[in-house]
Amino acid sequence: MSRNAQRLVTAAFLLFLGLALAATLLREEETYSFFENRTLAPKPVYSAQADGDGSYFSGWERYLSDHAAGRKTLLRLKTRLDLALGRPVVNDVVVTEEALLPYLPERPVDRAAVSRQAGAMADRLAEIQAAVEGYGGYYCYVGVPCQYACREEDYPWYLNNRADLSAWSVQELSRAAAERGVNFLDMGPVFRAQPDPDRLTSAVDNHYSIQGAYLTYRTILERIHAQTELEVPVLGEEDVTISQVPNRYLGSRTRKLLAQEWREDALYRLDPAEAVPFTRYNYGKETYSSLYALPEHPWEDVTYNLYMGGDLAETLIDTGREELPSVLVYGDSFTNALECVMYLSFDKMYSLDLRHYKDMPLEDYIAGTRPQVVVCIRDYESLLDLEANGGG
Amino acid sequence: MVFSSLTFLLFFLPALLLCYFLVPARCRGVRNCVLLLFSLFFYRCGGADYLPLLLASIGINYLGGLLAAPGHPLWVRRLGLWGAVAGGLGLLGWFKYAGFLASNLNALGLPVPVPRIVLPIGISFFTFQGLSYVIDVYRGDADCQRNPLYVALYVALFPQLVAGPIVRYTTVEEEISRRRESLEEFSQGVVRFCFGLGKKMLLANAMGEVADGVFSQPAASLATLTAWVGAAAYTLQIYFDFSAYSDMAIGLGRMFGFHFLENFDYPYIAASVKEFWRRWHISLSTWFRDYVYIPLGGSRCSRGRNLLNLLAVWLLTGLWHGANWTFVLWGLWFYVLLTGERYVWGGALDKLPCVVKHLYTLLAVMVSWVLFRAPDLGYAAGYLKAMRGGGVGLPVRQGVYYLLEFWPEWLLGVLAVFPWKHWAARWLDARQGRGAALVRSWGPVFLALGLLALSYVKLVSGSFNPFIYFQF
Repeated sequence: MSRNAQRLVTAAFLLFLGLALAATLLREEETYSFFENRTLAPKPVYSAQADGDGSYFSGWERYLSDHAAGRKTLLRLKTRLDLALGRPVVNDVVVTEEALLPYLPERPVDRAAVSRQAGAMADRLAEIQAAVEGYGGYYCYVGVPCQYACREEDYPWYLNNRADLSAWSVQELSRAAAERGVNFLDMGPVFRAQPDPDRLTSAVDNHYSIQGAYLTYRTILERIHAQTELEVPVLGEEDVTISQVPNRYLGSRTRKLLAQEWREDALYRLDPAEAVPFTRYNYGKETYSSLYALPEHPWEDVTYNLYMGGDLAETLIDTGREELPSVLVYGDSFTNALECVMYLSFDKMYSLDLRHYKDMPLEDYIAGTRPQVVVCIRDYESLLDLEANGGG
Repeated sequence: MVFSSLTFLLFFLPALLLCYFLVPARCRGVRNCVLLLFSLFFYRCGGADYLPLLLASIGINYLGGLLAAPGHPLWVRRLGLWGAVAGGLGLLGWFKYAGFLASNLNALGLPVPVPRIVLPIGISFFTFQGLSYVIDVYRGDADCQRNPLYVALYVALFPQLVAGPIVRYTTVEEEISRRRESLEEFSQGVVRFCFGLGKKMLLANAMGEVADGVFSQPAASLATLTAWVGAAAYTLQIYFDFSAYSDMAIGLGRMFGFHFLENFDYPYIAASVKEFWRRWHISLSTWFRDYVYIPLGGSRCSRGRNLLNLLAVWLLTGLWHGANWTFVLWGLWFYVLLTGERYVWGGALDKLPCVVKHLYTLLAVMVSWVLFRAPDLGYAAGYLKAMRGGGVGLPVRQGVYYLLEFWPEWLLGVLAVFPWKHWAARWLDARQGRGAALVRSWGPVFLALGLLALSYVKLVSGSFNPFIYFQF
């Protein structure tokens, strides 16, 4: 190395250390990363124990990784670079021409374990159904195919699409539910029977589209009609208008790619031809009377949180039509889009997300509100998950 | 704390450089104190509970060195030597092997409580380093260091403290008290450090993701291709990971005026297992050669005795890496290969075409890494079975995915095992033009800075950043 080269490399190295240090120290503190959809690591709290076992300083490393200078820009740069290199999976997103899909690590399917889990799930559902039927209500557990289950064919041949696991889970739950008399509705065959199933799901997000939610709504109500004598009006296609929202759709996969890769997709809203006035209560408190949380400006991106404003612990939509039955919809975020349709056919629509609602157990809530119809919506990924919306 | 971390790069290193170089060079003692204090803090970051252990090890070696030095009666010198050996190996034995021993006694039907001991970081390295000091003093190969701070600095010097290379006292004896930091040394250290950092962040971590993905699965579920991909990935990971650490250690040492010996010399281009061990983890193999193999009689003895000497060395080498039967088997595997090359098939191997010799070596080494990486013997057997096509087998698609997903790293990784640096230097030396001179002078600089920038991107954006050799 020449003398000048020695000077340059030394100066550049020291400058790099100094600048990175200064920029990290002067950086504005953030607590949440929107694109990663996670809380950033907090500053570690000193304790003698943490100091002793080394976790105090490893906490600082986690904190710095999350708060380093230029992190957002560098994350974008890395994502761009990985996309340019043609990696099939970037930031745990499978990048295909048609869609952005979740990466599903290869795991052998333990069929016996799935069967046991399906049995346990059916046992729990039977208990909930008995509680509902105890006061004359109607219960239905609905399985909805999530994005990877709807788009199995979009995966490259060398990547796992969980087709085996999905099929076996549904089959085993159907069997276990039938044995216990649990009312289980699998939306998978219904979706597949549609002429254009791709429009029922998203190309860039885990959830179904409003069209998928609407189809689910109709299928549930058809089943209620077939199995009960409840008078529940069903809104046909002529009774609703589905319109695209003007904002760009930032799906959860696009978000994971830090908006560096897009696929053609949009979010839609569903409005009844005849407006149904309602009062909305979030967690018991009257709130804005809207179902769709549109951004303030049309140039802002919109996420799946458009529907019902995202995951909320408890919501009540009261349409004041006492001649109609009431419904409780509980489940994970797949309930949100469905709720934007479901309330149109009921007097009161209660909505619970047991991941967030901790006031009382599900059965106590049901006993307290006594809705004539109770519907649980789970996607294939959480179909056999007993946690939270699985009934606990 | 690891070198490839933001706490090290953004806080520890700048603070140390500032404090160290603010002290005038003539105040060598003060500079050494600064270096020692930062080194102890560096170790403390891994867990303050273990700092007393490091200090105890330093104390044992300091006292051992004082007593073992020539000038004392022989029994005092022997007391110093064996006291330090017993003390050092006693600590190592308790922290590293007590649990293993107790589990095996339990398996044999002797109910012994299994102690739950967390392995202190770097204990194998600083124990061996301290022992080499006392043994060299006893043998008269090194002068006794009467300043305890300098013994402490030798044992605890942060670049090599937790993952080597195992630096002999004789290597740095002079430099501890009389070294010269300079722009030339510093800049060369920076370049070497950046190359190590790049190797770690860009290659080792990526290969580690593949290896961890494959080795986390039941061996019986692996397809043949996937098993080979996993073994190849781990083969590259362990080399880039460990040699990167050595590069960074050597580079950091150079920044502060120390010259550590090379620890790797392109091991995967070896044409025999014997040659591989001349190129792999050189500081460990020479340590065992000088302090175990030769004192036992080395090769200047009967064939039977030599076989026993080699057996002892390789059992100990295996156990040094970890308290697990897989490491014992790993050591025995190399024992079989090395004695085989020496006494059985070495002559035939020499006559084979070069390509075959390289393939034989690479295959032998890859098998060894499967033993090394496997959590237990059953898994290792299942994995090797999968490699020869005996696994039940998930579809080969997983192996294909790992090849396609990490194609840039595979490509660079395979290329990087070859000595391009030497080839390029030779090629440039043969050319006289201004262009060649420019490339010779500036090429490493820009490459190093580019690697530093890319490594920072990876550091900030990725969380997968373990160092394999920390566990030893």
